[in-house]
Amino acid sequence: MTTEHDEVLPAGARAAEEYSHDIVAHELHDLESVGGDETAHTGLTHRGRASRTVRFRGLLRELWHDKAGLFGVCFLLLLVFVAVFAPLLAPHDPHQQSLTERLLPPFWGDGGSWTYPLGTDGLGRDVLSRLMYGARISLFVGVAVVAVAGTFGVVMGLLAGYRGGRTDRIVMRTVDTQIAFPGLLIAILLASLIGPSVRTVIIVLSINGWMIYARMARGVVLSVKETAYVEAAEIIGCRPKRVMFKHILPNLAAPLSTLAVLEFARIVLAEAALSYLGVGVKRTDISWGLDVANGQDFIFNSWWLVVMPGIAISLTVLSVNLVASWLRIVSDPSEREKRFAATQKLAKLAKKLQRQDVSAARETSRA
Amino acid sequence: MGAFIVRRIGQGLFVVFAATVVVFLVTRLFTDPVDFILPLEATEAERAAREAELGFDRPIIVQFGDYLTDVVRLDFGESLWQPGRSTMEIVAQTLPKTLQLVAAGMTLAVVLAVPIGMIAALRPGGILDRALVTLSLIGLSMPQFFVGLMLIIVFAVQLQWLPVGGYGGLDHLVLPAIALALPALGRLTMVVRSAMIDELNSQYVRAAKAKGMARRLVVGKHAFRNAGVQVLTMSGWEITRALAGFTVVVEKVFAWPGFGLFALEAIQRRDLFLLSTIVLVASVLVVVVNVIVDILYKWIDPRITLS
Repeated sequence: MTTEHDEVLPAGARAAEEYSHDIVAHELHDLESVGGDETAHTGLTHRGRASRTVRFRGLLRELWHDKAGLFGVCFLLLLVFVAVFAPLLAPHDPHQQSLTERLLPPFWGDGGSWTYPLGTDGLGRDVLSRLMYGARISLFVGVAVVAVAGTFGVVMGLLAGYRGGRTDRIVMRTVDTQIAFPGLLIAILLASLIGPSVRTVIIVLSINGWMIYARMARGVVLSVKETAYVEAAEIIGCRPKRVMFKHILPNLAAPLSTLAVLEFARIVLAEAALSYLGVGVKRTDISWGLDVANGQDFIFNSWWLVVMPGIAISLTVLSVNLVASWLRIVSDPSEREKRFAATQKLAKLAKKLQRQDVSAARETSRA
Repeated sequence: MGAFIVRRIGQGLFVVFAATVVVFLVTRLFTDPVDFILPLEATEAERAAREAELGFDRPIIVQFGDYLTDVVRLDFGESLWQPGRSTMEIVAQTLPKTLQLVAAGMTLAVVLAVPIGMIAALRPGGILDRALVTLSLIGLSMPQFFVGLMLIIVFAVQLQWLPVGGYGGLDHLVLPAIALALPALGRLTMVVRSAMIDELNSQYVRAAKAKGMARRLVVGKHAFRNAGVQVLTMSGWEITRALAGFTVVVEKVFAWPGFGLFALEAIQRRDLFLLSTIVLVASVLVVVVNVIVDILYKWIDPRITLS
């Protein structure tokens, strides 16, 4: 990343740079260890596939040791399950109003019952059922925005890094400028003009978040552009498109996965914020952020209307962050050191892990 | 240094110009402003008359030129919600309150994050470190509005120590400032911790320790000074984040009459001009903070040469 464009970065851009730099750094490490062996990227050979299953088993073992990461993965799996099967699992219709059963407390509260385990809201709707359906919008918006912004950002970053020259200057200047914008305010402005809907939220947050992917993709491209296998591909006459997507793109897998997970957390929070402010999803949609906004009117007597969806958002984002930090520790040796440095007890654990690694390696060679 | 500052300010001006263009295009292209101004039952003639009066019937380039000259003369137009008042007047009235909130919240976050992050970094992997990291992660995972409402439930509704919201003395500022600070505190603590661990593992710190320097001095003087650069960058990032929209959420929760709350009000009252002015002022603020941070950055770390 040493073109003239990087000389003077605005502070915000630099912070984002550091954020993505961390992720790029371990990719470089990976490259060194692989030593330009292309099969490791494509996994096409038999050997590649075998080592991949071992790596997968290694990941699971790491996950078992990282209890926080394990919690994150389990909670997210549960959440996906609930979101997919919400109509089967939810005890009530989330839209069903019941004026005689308004503002019932959760089951442990005074007057609460198991009919409405987490109570009812100001219109007598079941809070638990709404939480279950609310998971759908949160997860869907998160996945959709990561997909849209990620695809666009990565393509722009690949183009900028690979083509260089004027394309690079235009793309990166746009990225720098947009990063220096008041992002959420412009998102609010745009969303209020388009009108509330799930589609609006996805559009607005994608416009808001593609830059970081472009920055990261460009960094990786610049670091692998000069390697032997990319040059070899160019020499045998591969078209730029093929070089970009077949030879350079696979290098993005590791850093991109960590970045996408972190961005997912950010977007779940942003969707909740937009919906809370009333410019996100439609009034009739079921969203955690919207439920908090509705519950705010009853904050003096019916705290659960704010607390339940609030906890749902917090736990979701926390789980995603725990998974992200687990991914980073797995893939970045310096991060691992930070976690396991100093204390002797942990040094012992490290030795034990090493021994397990050795035995795993033996297993591999036997296989 | 002088050349750097001039160049950096030039870049900042470009960002402000770009923001002006974006705000103008977005408000003109995505909707017809007259839809916002007139009631739905207005006749075609009424619409055309109003359109001509506001100049929306001219080509977009001409409109943009006019808009730019007005902005350069610091004339941001009249508010539709409060006719007779210029939008700038409303922003000037609400801006200090937002700045007050951001200053209080960010001071709180930085002042707490530095010692907490340093303590965590002293023994990475220890019980204290793990506890602090977990707490930081929880802090940065909670939506700002949820933090705010929880604070209201506990300290205003249950304990009744502090007011629920609104603008007033110091007691009104406490809860919104904490709500604004908490997620930033979580993120900053992680940054301070990570930067300090890097510095504490570096050669020069080992050398200082080996020659028998007091631990307090090694940590406080050597390591922290160098970690400080990263901390400064991230603190600036947090301030711009807050200005770039996150105060809106906190101001809504606590009914704090800053420009964020007025931006939401402008959306509800369909006051396009006020909303545009607020977004513009916010982008100027973000640029100013970025420029200041950059200048401080070069000043603190002169190794970064100008090319």
